[in-house]
Amino acid sequence: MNYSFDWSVIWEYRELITRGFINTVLLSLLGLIFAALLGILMGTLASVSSRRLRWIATIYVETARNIPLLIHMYFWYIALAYLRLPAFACAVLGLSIYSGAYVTEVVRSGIAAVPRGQYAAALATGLPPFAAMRHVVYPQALKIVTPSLAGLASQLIKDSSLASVIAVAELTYEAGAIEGLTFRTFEAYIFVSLLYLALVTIVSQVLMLLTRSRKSETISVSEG
Amino acid sequence: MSDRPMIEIESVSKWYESFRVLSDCTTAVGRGEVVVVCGPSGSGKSTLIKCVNGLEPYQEGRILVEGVEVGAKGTNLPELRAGIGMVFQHFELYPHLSVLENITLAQRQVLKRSKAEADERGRALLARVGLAEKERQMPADLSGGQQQRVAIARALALDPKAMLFDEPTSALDPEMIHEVLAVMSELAAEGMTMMVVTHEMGFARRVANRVVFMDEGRIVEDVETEAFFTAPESERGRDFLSKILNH
Ligand SMILES: Nc1ncnc2c1ncn2[C@@H]1O[C@H](COP(=O)(O)OP(=O)(O)OP(=O)(O)O)[C@@H](O)[C@H]1O
Ligand SMILES: [Mg+2]
Repeated sequence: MNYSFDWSVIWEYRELITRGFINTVLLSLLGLIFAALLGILMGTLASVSSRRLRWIATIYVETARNIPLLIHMYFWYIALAYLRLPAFACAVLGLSIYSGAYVTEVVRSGIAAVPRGQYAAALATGLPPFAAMRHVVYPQALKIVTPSLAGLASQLIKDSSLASVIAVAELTYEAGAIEGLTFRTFEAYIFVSLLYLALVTIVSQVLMLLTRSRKSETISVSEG
Repeated sequence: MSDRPMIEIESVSKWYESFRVLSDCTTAVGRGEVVVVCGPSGSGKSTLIKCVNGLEPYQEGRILVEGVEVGAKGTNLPELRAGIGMVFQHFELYPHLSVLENITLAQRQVLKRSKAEADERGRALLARVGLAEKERQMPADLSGGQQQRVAIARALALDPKAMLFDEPTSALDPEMIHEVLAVMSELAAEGMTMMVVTHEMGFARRVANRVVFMDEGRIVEDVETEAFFTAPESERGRDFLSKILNH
């Protein structure tokens, strides 16, 4: 194989790559926020005693999770076409709803891992249900599921590449664009791969650090 | 009006699906009174006291706490629960919070006390249960008896009018039972209204005003403490006593 690499195209098209990187970061960040909110809400519904509310969560998880993300992307793009929402907003929606289903399952399992007696004890002191969840159940559940959540976050960043199919100018889309302009397939895709790798590594390390410092925080409070 | 009992339980029945856990239970706990609830495993003791602060719903009858019906639709349950302390068999301290934070959480969230106020009250209560120097520790670093005393302090932090105890010493090693019972006896002596599920018959005999004996979801006996220990009315009561006193 005598393919000769020409990395100058990366520099030449640095604006496209920068734009793609920024969009990937924004898309992932918004996706993470909305997936987390949706996951906490639905994961809590999945844990309550009311059968009807649990059903809502089950139906959401099963439908969102069992439809390929690619279809989510097309669906929101086409279904919301009459709203004239920008493709970026549709991608955020598709990504959040899809990943939110996985977050829901993780949150549900985290809540289930906290002994029931903890919630009862919190209620017994007069905390309303929401405050009991917020101060007693969620913090313990979060500690249990942090590794799974960090995994979902990296998954979500990689999944954001599918937004390219509805012409959101994120990294993968820009790599395709550069390829189309220069036929430098390897250079373009190798370079964006490195960017994804860096992004995913940074985000999962930061998430791990955050929870570690949270732990040392409680320990330092307890010791001085 | 003021001689109305603090807790009134009137013909309460409860079902889990088709299984009847409580059958037509009636009793009352007066102000400053200590009532011990005992009976064989599965007789419904825990269920009965959990109904008192609305942790478990009941389907028939009424439970009134200071005249407020626990199971009524409009009842503000968080407010009612804040007025009743509860202590559990397995302590249920919050493992992610320090000892002091365990005691201040509800003070701050429910009573809206300032951090300084809540901390001060928390420290006073820790001193009272003999754990002044433990405020910065995490619950897991304490012995069972110490954890249970913290749990009692946590319940007292809301200045409750009554306290419910569900087998507070059954999960403890024998040498730690005494320190918890000592705190409870002191509380009783100070006039706290208490409903205590326990198998500690020595404690019951010394501290309780009345004994409620349950079997298969029914209140079989509800008598003065001495009467229960000297001459239980029911066959089952006699049976239970002889087993528990001679084990
Ligand atoms: N959530 C539940 N669903 C179904 N049945 C239950 C539930 N909780 C308790 N029970 C049943 O109700 C009965 C009474 O339980 P409860 O815990 O009140 O008994 P107890 O007198 O406190 O017993 P123990 O001395 O073992 O604590 C038992 O037969 C128990 O199996
Ligand atoms: Mg019990």
